[in-house]
Amino acid sequence: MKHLAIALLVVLPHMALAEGVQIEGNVQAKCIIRTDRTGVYGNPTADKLSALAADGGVTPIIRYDVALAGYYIARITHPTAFSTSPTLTDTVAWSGGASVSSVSSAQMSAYDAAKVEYDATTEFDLTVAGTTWFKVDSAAEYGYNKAFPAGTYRAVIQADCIAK
Amino acid sequence: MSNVVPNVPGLDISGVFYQYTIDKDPAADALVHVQNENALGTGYIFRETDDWSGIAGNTITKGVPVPNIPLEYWGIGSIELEGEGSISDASVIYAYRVDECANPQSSPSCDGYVPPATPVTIEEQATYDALEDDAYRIASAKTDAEYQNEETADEDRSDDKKRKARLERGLAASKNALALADGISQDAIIASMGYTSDMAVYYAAQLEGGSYADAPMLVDGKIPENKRGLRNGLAQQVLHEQLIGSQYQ
Amino acid sequence: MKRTAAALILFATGAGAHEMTPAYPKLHQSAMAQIMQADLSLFNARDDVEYYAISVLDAEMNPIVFASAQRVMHVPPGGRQDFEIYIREDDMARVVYVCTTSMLRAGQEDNAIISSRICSRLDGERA
Repeated sequence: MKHLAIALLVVLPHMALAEGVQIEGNVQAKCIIRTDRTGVYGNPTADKLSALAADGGVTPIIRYDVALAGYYIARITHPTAFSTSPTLTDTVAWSGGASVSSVSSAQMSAYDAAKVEYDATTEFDLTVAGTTWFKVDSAAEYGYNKAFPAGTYRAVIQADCIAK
Repeated sequence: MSNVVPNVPGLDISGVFYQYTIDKDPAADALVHVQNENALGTGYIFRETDDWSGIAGNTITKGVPVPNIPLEYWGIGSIELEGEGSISDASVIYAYRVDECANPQSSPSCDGYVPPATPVTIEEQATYDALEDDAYRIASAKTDAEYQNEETADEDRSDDKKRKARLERGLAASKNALALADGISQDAIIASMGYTSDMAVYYAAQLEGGSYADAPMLVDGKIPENKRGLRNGLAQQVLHEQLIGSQYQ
Repeated sequence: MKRTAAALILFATGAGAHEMTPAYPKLHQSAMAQIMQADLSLFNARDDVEYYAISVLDAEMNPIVFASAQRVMHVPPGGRQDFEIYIREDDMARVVYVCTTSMLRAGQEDNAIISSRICSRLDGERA
């Protein structure tokens, strides 16, 4: 009986101690780069390769997701050389650029007006949290009205997300 | 909303995804409302506003979570432009979920499911008609020759028979026309034959004659013994005793 | 109560994602004297890329000498890789970025022409 009474005294106070348990968490700055659509070069003329839809190509689209506003800069560099190609004996003139294709927040449409372009690079200050889709135009012309040799051509777009 | 999402019980909306392209002057003000009316009340059950004021137009792709609002609350949806500009390539998608147990009878795994009663099936009893049996048909079927022979003779005979039958019926009918034709009158005749209205004749019937008196009785009550019978009775007693004693010897 | 969820996917998510955290890793003293360490994590959701190169850069994106268990990590699609970088204490003043860059294999059949790079900031300052 004595042991039973002690056991009860031990048990009952513990039953009264049941209470809510807090769950803590935090959101950290995070940048995610996704390839929404890989591009394809079209060959509208013998001397030109272009990723524009009007030229028979497919424009690549890169998606940036940022968790917190104002922590990252998106830096997109369009190609200036082929990563894979047949042997080329003449120079290749590159052109291109990046622009906003779609946004998840209306305020993101201001990115285009505020973008900075230098060399082959376009910088966007990601001042709004959410998702932004950027389209990248790229075109290459071979020599002066010179036809590209037959073969496979590939070029690389560099998409950076740099913490501010 | 029934033409947008399935109109099934237990359905609720958990998210709205939309996309549209707005073309506007960057300096102009514009508000775009993506909304659904409240079907069970006033106002809107869902309304998301994008502020494009002072910025260039673009394509927006957005997803808005919704706290599982039942389908019956969702009224007509629309995209409303407030300000200057134009909207194109708009699409709205609703993410929904369905509670399969909104109707408990939809699945045996749902709470409150009542198994249906086993239907009683009455087996149809096959009946046998002997006259339809193939064996009977074959046996009773006439051959072609019989058909042919009977064809002409039967025709005459059947004609005679028919004529006689008709004649008999006609005679019977004419003789007892009233009785045969009228069943009611026959019943009335029978009833009248059996009906006797005067039963008093039988109740009041008298028999001629007097009464029979009792026969004379014995004066005294003693009947003497028959002396002739003694001899017979004693002899039987002696014999009886001999028989009884013999079983103890 | 059974519930059936119908998630309607509005947009194709394409070939996957590249993610690196934290955005501002802390440099702390490592087990070795005068060597500072930073801990990061990389998540690879790209199904066309399996290798990522680590680089440490200054403010002008010039490379800085550093050490790590591997310069090019193999991270299978859908995988996460935790890694550490070690830099000299003397270079702490110059170090600004630590980046991971997707590596595309030569002769890759996929038309994967997008190379992604994510950089975290080591100097702890937000510009």
